[in-house]
Amino acid sequence: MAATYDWQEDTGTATGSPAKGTTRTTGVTDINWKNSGTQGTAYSAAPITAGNNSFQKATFAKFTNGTFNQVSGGLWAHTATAFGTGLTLKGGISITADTDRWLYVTPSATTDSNLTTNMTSAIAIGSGVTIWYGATGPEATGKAASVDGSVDRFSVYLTTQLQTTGSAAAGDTATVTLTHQYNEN
Amino acid sequence: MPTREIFNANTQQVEPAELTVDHNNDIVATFQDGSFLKFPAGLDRQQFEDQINLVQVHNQGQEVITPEYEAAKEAERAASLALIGDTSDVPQENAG
Repeated sequence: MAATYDWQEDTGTATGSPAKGTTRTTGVTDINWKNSGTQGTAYSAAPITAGNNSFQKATFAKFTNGTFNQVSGGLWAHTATAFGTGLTLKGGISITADTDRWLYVTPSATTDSNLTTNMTSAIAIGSGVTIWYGATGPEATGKAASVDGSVDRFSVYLTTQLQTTGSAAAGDTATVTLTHQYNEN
Repeated sequence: MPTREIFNANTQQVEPAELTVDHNNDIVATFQDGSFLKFPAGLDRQQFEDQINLVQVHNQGQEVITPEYEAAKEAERAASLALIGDTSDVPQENAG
């Protein structure tokens, strides 16, 4: 039986060390960038005014409940459908050391200088950023390129922020596809 | 308007970008193709230079899928499906 995969998201005030969100939502079904740091708020109720940014979305993956030996080879990228004019999607950097992981901060609409990967263009997943995994939450130290599958396992934060200029069109953005690819055995 | 050579992830080239300051005091670098980058307010000169350098370090090598490429691939898939008479084009999901 394969690992059970669950999208999760941290929101709220940064707490603890290493920091994580006060609220951890399981079973997340979308990444709706919006002018709100609350997971459940409808994006239509918290629109981003052109020229401003969304709050960061601190999404991550949790593997659980399956019979698997290892998760490895993680990649993360925007893989389909173009954004319109005036929109830039930023994400975390490729992880090649434990210290490369994005550190949780209380989400806000301020431009996040630590999100330096430009994810605006759809790219081949093979040229996505490298993702590492660990035994405890996404915030924890000790991430590695592969992790065993004995109990719950987590990715680093797959954080994104939608940034806009005044030329962004009103209304919903295109529905884009972000892909998290990994090997499981 | 001030311009600056900055790496454009969309074209994978270093190109001139127009620099402006928006209403949030962020620095916005806009390329000729309309794509842009924001640099947060509050940076000093060295931090700004570091951020510009990181743009290239962290984005070089992306294999960009253009809308034209994506449309061609979708058309190719539709043609293959039509060829075998399959009208149930349901994306595969991980049933794990």
